[in-house]
Amino acid sequence: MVEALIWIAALFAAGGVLTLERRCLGQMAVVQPLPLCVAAGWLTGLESQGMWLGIALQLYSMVPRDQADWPVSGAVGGAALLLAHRLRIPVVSGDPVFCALTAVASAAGFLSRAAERRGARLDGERIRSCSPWSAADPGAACAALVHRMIGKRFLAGGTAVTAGAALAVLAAFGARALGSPAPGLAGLGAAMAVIFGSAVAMSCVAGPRHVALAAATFVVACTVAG
Amino acid sequence: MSALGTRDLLGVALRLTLVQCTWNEAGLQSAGLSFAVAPALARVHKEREALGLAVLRLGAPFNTHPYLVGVLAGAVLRLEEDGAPDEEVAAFKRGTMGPLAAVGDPFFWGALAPASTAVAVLVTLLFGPLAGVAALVLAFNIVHVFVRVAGVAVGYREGPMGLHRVAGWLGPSRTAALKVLTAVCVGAILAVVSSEAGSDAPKWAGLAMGATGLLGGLVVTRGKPTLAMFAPVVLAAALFIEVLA
Repeated sequence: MVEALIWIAALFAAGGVLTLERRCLGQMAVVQPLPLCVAAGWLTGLESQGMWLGIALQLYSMVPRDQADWPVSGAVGGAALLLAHRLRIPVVSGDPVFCALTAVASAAGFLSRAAERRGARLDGERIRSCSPWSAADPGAACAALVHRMIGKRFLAGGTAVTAGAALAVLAAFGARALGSPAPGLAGLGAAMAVIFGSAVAMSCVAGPRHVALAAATFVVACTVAG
Repeated sequence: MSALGTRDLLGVALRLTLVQCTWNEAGLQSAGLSFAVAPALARVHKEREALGLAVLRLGAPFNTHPYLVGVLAGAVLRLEEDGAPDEEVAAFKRGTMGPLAAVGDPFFWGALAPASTAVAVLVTLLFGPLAGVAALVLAFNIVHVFVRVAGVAVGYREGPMGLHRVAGWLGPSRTAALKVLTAVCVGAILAVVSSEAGSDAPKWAGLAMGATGLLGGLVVTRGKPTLAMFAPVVLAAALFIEVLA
């Protein structure tokens, strides 16, 4: 019980701090799915799983940023990997458990962004009714607003990551109950996740000539690799 | 003699990293901008009343690309120091925030972020995760941190003309080059993943996977790229194929 509470508190704190990076602390794009999942894989000894999870989520992150909060996805993916390891749920790159973790982590990014949009609307209403510009010292009022918003975003990020990781672990239990991959198909999930991510990447930057360029590179690389 | 030194301008750049923190539907980025430039304004305007008015001028709703807000903040500080009238400062902010966002969004979100991601994923697949993480962090931040920090200095030194200089750094030719780099990297990623996934399967399976990725990209190039919303569905499909096939 005590250990569970420690885990929840640690996930909440780590999630809060990590998700602050996107909007508050530095915005150096360090908190991205690839670094977070690679770090989680390194901590748990699941390097390969962390790498494939990070690659898939990182490729999905190329969709426009107003649609999903990919730092939250990365934090949920990394936290879920840590929890799965702690709860002795075996994760193999591309197996059903891996697919479940990746799916819940990516869904968490969309839900978190939707919640943030709603929060911004409510903040706007509050600020309209009690504007820092009407305070005696607007500079100090703005600074107080910044500090309050940092605290609020920490709480929101911590909640999102903790809840997302819990859901991902539940999904992993469910996926494990479904059974093992059919022979010859293990690893399909990782490949599909990355292939789909590549399509997302193309959709973000590409016109038809960019797709043609990617196709030419694909053919040349396959030929060179034999 | 300028009222602000390098240390003040670095302070503004550092505080501007919080500009998105207070984003809301009422003032958008205005509270974050005021928070960032208030200490520098206090050095420009020694009288309390003038300082209060200068901060109040920043209260109008304001929104632009968060990485380019530095050059605009620097230019506003230059206008304030030169004693520009209220209307001129307000008109400058109002008139430039849109065009700056129009320069920043395609470059940073539409080109640099995808290019750094594609390069990082390819490096990860070829050289391992640590090299990939280093590539991701370096490729994005070298450009982004330079624009953020140098933008404040250029804006302050050159005033409104500094915006043209910074916009020139992020011109369409560089955006196009980054998109080409992304496309080449995605092609290479597909080749690497297809060859690895196809090791147990017939050779055509790897080629089919690569072709599927390219076709997926081609299908959605004309629409809004919301494709990633279907990621959970695709992964659920993979899960069921693996277990039930």
